[in-house]
Amino acid sequence: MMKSISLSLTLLLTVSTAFADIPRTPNGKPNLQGTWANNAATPLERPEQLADRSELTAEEVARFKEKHDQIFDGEGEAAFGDSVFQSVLANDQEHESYDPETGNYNHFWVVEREFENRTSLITDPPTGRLPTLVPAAVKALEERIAYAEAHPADSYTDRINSDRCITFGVPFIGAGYNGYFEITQSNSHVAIMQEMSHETRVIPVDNRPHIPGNIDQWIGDAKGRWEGDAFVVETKNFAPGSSFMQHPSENLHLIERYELIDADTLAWVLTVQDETIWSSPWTLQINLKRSAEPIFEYACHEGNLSMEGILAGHRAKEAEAAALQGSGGQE
Amino acid sequence: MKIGIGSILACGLAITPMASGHHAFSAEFDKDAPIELEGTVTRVRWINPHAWIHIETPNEDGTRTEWMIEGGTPNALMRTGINRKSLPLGSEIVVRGYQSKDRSCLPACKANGRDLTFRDGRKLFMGSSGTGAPEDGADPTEG
Repeated sequence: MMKSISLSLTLLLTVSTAFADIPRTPNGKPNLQGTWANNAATPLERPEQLADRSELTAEEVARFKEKHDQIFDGEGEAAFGDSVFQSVLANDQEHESYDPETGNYNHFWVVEREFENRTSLITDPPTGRLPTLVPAAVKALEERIAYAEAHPADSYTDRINSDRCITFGVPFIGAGYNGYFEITQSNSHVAIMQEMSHETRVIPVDNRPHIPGNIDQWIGDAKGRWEGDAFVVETKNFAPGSSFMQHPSENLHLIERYELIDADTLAWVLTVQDETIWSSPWTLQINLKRSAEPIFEYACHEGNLSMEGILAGHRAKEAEAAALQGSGGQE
Repeated sequence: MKIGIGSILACGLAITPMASGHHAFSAEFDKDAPIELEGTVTRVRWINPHAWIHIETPNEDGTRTEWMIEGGTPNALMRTGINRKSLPLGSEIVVRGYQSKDRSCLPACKANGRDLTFRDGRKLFMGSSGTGAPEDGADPTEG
């Protein structure tokens, strides 16, 4: 009971103030339809250097944007996720490569990031930092890392879901990398399609119950409802292998609130609850921006080309090692 | 690439690798086999999560070798106006990257495109008419 009260308070505290002239569908509900982009540079967790700051000043935002444009002019290597903000904060002209061994591709392949005044996506805990992992989750993570290092590509099953074009995780909260969503509404359903990689959640809003607990799905089972002008989605029944935040868990319970802040900004407040992973629920807010561009078909080909390259590459390296061993280590 | 739990925890549990959206290049390409290629574009495949640019490079004996160069996701480029005509077949480009761990060269040799430029040093898809600039009417190849 205490947990549900705490969670409700969290949701109330993190809900954004809606604006007055909300566009509405014929049934009177807020019209959330369209394409929405998640390209903000705001990091998931508040950097330690900004530990006492939940917001930046307008001057700081402008300076960060200027520094961003200077560092990421397309000449250097692509930067992803939180590393963009971290590089700007550190005034890091040579930001660390995501893949230092072989390098990555040029930054022109990725979208330009936007700056807002917040210093973390996480709004609860108030520190802007993730709660600690429970010991069992730390142990499971260590075991997965150890296995992956020992068996990087014995089989395609050793590769993560995204390498296998199964799913990139739902919902996809990564910014700046195909972080686009298309929302379509009817009286009975709201469909949210994410570009990465074209998973679509068709969410009933007719108060039907969740599917039985013994049925699980890669994208979970989402059920929606309207609370005033906020569209609320609860999702559970995730498949054991689905890996939101890279923590496979069938106990994941997500509560999302979608609410228009203005005509072109949709606040997406996501509360994550999984006591088998995190020591307490936590909440983030992403301010999605309306995009005039459509969703692009993702049509994942990773399993057709790169998977073959990864597996063949590891077999080749194994053969090299075996030959070297057979020659007594003499090249 | 070796990833320790400390670094994963420190970077917010994977939002960075997740946002990169794909395997690390080091899973497929050989850090001990850096290459620099100059070749002619013969095919561009705008597919996810990696675009592939095919080039032919000349050999000393007069034959040519086909290379497949792995790049990034094409979606962001498309949003800036890059289209199927933005890297015309026949373009001469320079590729700096690493060859694949698998050297069988079937159906073609493979490398990652860590750094893609035209011969004069200009980055692909940046700024110049006919070479990837957003459509503005100035480029007769647009459309």
